Amino acid sequence: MRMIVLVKQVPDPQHIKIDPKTGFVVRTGVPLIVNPFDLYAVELALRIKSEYDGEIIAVSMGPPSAEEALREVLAMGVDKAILLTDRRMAGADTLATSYTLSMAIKKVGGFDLVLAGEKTVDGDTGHIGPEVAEFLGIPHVCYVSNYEGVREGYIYVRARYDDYLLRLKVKLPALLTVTRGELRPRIPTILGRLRASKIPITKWNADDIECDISRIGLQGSPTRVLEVFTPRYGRKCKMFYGDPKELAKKFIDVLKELGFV
Amino acid sequence: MRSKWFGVAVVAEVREGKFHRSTWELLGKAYELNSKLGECVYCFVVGKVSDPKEPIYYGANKVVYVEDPELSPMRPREYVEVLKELVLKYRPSIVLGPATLYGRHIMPRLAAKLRTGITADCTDLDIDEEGNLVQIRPASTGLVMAKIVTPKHRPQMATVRPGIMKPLPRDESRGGEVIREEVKVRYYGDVEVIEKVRYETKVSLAEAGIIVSAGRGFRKPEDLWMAKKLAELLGGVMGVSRPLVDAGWVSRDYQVGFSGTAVSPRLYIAIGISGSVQHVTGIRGAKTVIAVNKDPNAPIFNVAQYGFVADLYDLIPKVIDILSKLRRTKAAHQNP
Repeated sequence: MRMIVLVKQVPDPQHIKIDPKTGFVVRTGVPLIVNPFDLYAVELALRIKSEYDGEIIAVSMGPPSAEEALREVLAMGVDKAILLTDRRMAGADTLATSYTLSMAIKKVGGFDLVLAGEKTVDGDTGHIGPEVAEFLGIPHVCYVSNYEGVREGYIYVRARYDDYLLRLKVKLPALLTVTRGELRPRIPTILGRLRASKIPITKWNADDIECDISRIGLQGSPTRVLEVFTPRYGRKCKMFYGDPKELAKKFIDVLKELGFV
Repeated sequence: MRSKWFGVAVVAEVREGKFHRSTWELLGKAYELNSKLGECVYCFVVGKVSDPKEPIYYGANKVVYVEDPELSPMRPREYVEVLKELVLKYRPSIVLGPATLYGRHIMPRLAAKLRTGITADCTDLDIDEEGNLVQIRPASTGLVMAKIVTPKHRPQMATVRPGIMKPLPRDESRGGEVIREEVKVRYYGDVEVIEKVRYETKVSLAEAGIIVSAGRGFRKPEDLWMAKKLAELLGGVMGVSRPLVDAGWVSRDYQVGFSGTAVSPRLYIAIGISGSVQHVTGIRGAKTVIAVNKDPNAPIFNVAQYGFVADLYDLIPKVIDILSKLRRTKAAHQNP
């Protein structure tokens, strides 16, 4: 099995804050991590590899700093890593990002499976997986929680859709987006980190993957962000202060008034 | 080329022969958007439903129906090909779809096939002076909101989570037509559902009438008993904000908020929750919000109707005490 895992470096959501004075998002000093959902995709790839052998290639698009994220997944046991880094790729929305990733995947070629996290914690769209699958012309399944086996050109997977667990059979090559639930991403060992430090990371720019420049980055993105704002809500709040004992009584009064007690 | 595109289309979600409520919510918004455009509200129905006229009662002018029980979002390539044909034939300027798990499965793939932009999880939609769709969604991990447009591409696509938009009241006197379409599809047969097992969910936040949610104000997992107990006394369920799920205290089934479950209870009690945009977006559907927080400036008070400034460790046990006593007296009266 030749597998490609899509990885993104994201700001750690626990550390992002808003400057109370300006209302802007404070990004400086926020640690960068591997998108947590991608770790599940890496874990799934590693499990498939341990059963069926093969190769795992991580692909990431981002600034040069994203090398660290790739180093992290190499330490988990990924075999090779490719970083798509090019100023012309910056400012991409999901369409332009998916196109760029699909061109890189085509250049890698000969894959059986493409794996991605269910979504990223920064963009939070969950759209990249299905869009990449469309550009590659392969089937996709989202919210995969685990796999059951690979037989005769099909992978058997489990996916969670609301209150249902679906067992599916998907023809290879295919793209799966992976969710939490059944897998526990492994923690890199010291040996793993040592091994990872010796693996060279391949860097490709837009020309290397033969992108149509008009379809990447900001110029290739149909959507435009007009404005970013901190929302105001119209609700008027009746505030209660004071001694907890009194407040508890007022709390009950409010519940009574609303008809819940 | 933009001018050749008219109207607002809603991609219906069909589950086991029935429309999902997200369809009515999206039609309600589509109707409102179209009142500014004066064009047409379409409802694209792909699959098999018992009554294809139903979307008309919720505001659709034209229901475009491809009746094929074989088609489902779990066969994304076929499903998206059919939708693409409908989009290219009817040329709606706006295509809205549900941000349910099934909707997320197909809408982005449709956008890629049409080579257009798509904005996920919009919390509001509007039309600007030029007739463009203004798409509003949380950005930067939900801390701020972004206003997004798709100026040059058509259709303009967006998804909306269930529970955020309001449906129109069902009205059988609304007029409209059902157009049946036959679309030739190639059946790839590359995805097959072998089995569908309903599993026991511990919580059903999306449908809950009363939710008591815990946030970062709780110091350790054991303390969640307070939220659980209060929920139990009120006949509701417990929810939590994202940090508690990230910290591994409870499973994601309990997470209320933008990346968890969008809820619309009659009563939402937020305890020790600061109220990030990400959380607040998910509770927009709540009728009444009561918030408890030590910090009088916590943003949660901007969305609550009743705010209690107190340490939850002081206040909540006392509330539980009084409520338990009330319940016991009530029970004693009922069973003398």
